Amino acid sequence: MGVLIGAAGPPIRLLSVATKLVTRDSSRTANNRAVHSTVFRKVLMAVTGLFLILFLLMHMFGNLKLLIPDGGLEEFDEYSHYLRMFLYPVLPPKFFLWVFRLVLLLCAVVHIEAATRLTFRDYDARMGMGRYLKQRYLAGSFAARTMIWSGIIILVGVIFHLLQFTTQTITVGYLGSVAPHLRVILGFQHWWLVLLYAFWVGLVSFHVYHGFYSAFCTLGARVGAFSAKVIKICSVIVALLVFFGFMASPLAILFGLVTA
Amino acid sequence: MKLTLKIWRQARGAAQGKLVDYKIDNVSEDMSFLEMLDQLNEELTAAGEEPVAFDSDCREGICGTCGVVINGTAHGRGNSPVPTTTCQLHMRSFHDGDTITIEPWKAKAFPVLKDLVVDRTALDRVIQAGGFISVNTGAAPDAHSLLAPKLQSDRAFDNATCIGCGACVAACPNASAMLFTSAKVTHLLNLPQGQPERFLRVKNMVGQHDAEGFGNCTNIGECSAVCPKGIQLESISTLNRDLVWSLFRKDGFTVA
Repeated sequence: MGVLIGAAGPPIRLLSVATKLVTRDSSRTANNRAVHSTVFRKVLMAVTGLFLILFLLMHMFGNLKLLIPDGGLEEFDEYSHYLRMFLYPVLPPKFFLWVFRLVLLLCAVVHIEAATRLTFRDYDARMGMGRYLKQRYLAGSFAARTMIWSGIIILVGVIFHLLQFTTQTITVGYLGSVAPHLRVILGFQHWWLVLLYAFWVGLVSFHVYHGFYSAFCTLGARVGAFSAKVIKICSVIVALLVFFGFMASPLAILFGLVTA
Repeated sequence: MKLTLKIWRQARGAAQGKLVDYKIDNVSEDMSFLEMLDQLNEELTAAGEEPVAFDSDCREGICGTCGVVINGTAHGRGNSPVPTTTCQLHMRSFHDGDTITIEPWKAKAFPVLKDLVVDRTALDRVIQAGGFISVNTGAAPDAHSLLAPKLQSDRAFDNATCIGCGACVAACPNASAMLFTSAKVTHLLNLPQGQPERFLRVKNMVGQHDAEGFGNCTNIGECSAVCPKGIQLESISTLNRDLVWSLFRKDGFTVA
């Protein structure tokens, strides 16, 4: 700490030398501090984020069943049913489904909790908006700097998506409750819904592009220049896979390649 | 060379400052950036105005004392491929008639003392929390009693080149000092002398880093882009890996 003088007005620091660990909280052990550190939160974000990406890819491959010529639609419904009945004779019906849903929810909650805390912390650390009057970025992508915003829009999108296809609270192109393949086909015959989903899926792949890369960096997989390149290329591949994989069916429906 | 300078002026003890415009003439392109500021200060002093306060010491890029944000990049390197500190930036990097914006490092953990001078003792405290090795005094050990593999000693040395200027914090959109902290952690964990305190070190240094109010790393890479010593993001990855490992070891236990 520095020597503080000046009775009136703000204290004036004459000499600034680090003489002791003023900000160290001695009520905690080193291990406790490490568990509560930003790095550990980031590790939680990385693990949950990668699990969510894994889920996204599974979901995407399932969706592609719609594109199978001759009987793809029935197969899509069967697949949708099978997800609910997965491991049925071994476990009670829909048991696996609910366990999986709860795990996904837990991942999302942990991910969002950490993101919220870290974002507020960062905002504080850089002293709010308008830090520099002139700012020029040299490295890093736009995606990397706007993760929280893409994340928030994705969350809103997920809620809409579940209301539309799972609970059918919001229906597009039909009323009531219909077979899974019809929910998709009747909905995506509307160009504006395809556009909305293109924007949303675009943001998801945007988020995945930096998220995938960042997760592996956080987990310590970036050991040198070569591994950095490998992680970067993989993140581009995964992001493109997510975008085109998810947008393939809506576009095929919109252009009349897949009809009910 | 004729230049317009927009310099951050903040009185000692003031909570806020503002950019003030200055005109400067007869700047040689062979001058360093700090020599240009020296000239400005001479002129300000002659005119009876308060000179601009800025930090500098060795002026050869090895001490880490100087550092300001120039035109929005820490140390003002811009997209030049040569990593430099502010003192090694020369006026030939600018053109006649340019407007140059000069601001101090800005982060909550780096309070501005005056004008372009910031208090970086937060970094010292991060080092004090564990950025050292403990050696008992006595007779020097034989040179070959501790073997350091070549590649690891190279990596340790690369990370030991960090001069603690704070540009990584200034450039980081989250004002995180992870590059600084990880450089010291990576330096010491690659050497046999660093092993006994290895896991306690990473826990303590990360704990202190957070306690100082720095942000967290989101792997953007702005820090290593401005680092005058070329410390890479791999160091941060190494720190993360070591912190996770350290959680499976009781405080004070080592590798074995």
